[in-house]
Amino acid sequence: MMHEGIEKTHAKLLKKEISAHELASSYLKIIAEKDPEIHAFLDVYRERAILEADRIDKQIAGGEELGMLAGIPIAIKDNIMIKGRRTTAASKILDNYRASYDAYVISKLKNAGAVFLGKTNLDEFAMGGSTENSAYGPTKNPHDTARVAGGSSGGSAAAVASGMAPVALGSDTGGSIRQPAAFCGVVGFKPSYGRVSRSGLIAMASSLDQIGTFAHLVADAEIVFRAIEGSDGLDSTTIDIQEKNENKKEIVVGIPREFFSAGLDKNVEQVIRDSFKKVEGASASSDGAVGASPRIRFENISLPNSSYALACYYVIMPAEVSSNLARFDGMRYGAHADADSLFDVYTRTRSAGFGTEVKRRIAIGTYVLSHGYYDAYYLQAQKVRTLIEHDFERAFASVDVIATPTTPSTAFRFGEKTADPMSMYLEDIYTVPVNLAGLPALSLPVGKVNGLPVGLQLIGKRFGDYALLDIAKKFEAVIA
Amino acid sequence: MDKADIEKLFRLARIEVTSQELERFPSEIDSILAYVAELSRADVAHVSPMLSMAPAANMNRIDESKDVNEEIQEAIISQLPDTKDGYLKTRKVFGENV
Repeated sequence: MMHEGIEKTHAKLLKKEISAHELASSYLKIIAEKDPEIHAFLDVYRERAILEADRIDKQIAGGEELGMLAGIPIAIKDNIMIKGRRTTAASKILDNYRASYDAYVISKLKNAGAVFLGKTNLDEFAMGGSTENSAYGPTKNPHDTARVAGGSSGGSAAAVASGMAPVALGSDTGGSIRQPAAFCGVVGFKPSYGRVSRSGLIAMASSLDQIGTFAHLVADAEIVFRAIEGSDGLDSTTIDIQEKNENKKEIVVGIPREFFSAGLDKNVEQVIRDSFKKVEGASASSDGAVGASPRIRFENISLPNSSYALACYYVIMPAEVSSNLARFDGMRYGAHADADSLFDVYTRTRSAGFGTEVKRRIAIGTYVLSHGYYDAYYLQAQKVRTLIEHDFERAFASVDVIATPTTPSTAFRFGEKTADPMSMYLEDIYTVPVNLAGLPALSLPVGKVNGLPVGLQLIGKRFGDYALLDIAKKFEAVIA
Repeated sequence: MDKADIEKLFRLARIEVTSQELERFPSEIDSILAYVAELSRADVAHVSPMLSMAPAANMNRIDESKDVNEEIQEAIISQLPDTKDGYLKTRKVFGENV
């Protein structure tokens, strides 16, 4: 079933060429074979997945009308809550935590009949770019197990890349879907801010967090997105959007020069530029006539303030992290360290429960929000964030989509960047601007360097998620 | 930042750092703050801060409890570290250092 896509699998399920039971079993079997080495999963729902699949098979046998995701197995990043199931965010502080309710996206997927395979590994509280910050050990890259799968949604990316799940959910605050998708050679889609509810997602930085999808095909990433998007009263940032189908004769792709400068690996750049040539070449034969596929034209553009994006991100994100993680106090759920005073209960619980990277970010956030530094750091960063958003607005006045590398290099080796946090942060340099501006973006596998996948990032207009997915399909058709 | 600054900062965040972390954090946090300090070079005259990514209007709902049943109560209360008569039990809230 692997790469044929959800639509074809759905047709086979309805025609009873395959049962949901067989489908779930086949993925559980691959998990049993491969996950001891890859470690993409923190929890596998061996029995429960089969029960869910059997229920779908009964519905199929009863001739019930079923949606596209009925019986389709899916893996879920372990910072998204499934009622009654252990949800750790890969942190010791939530080691014993069981979710008391379903995340909005989970209730949507349950209604759609999706079959949950289990929970996937991540950097603790989604803070990191390699899953090396997981309290439960890192996830290995299926293309080279001496290398990281990327992060923070490394478990979801590796699960899909190694065939342990056809699709998966992740979350993306500064690149946590797109960067691991690029490293593992799969499609990773981060929707527009406000398009998918975060109710039941363990919050990291609330003005940036977004839930999105992993898949082998853009069409599959879209099917899962369609199932989970929409307004939810429990996330006030969400709104319903009806996108107009524009049927353009020409698609203009902007190439921002700032994303092709120092720091970008030459071989990665070559793969990215080759993909542009292929797309341009394939569309050259199109005459733009009605019904024909649109001509795709590339144009150089500039996003002058993007050089500030990472600095801006590393003020705003930790500030929000330090606020959001204040709730982990050992009082109501999760780990609890006893002590004589309330102050000591707090500090002992948090000191034992949080890993080093989480502590580092809480410290930076506490610092930039403290009296006397607020204006210089936090307020300044919010103003720069406006500049970055304006850059994109100006660019999108003349282009339909922006194309960049997803990451400056291919997957790195374990331990390569853990000694110097700044070098790890630089991994996010091309993905972070997108979150600051709330835009939709997707990483598409477009080739390899020395056997390691390279991801092309396509950035769309705010709330133009389906338009972006459509353009990504055109790229995919030529490159894949 | 020296070790005393770091300890004070973490105290504000209700965290004690390990001796190992206390060795590495001062220089690491200094280098991150030096990196983000480049924001001061951006020309932000007449630029408004982006205060929210959300739609301009607030969303309100009636302030009433919803979907409360014993199962949910039990799921939540069962996770409390210490209880008395179904209430959360803690160390005294008022006192030094709190």
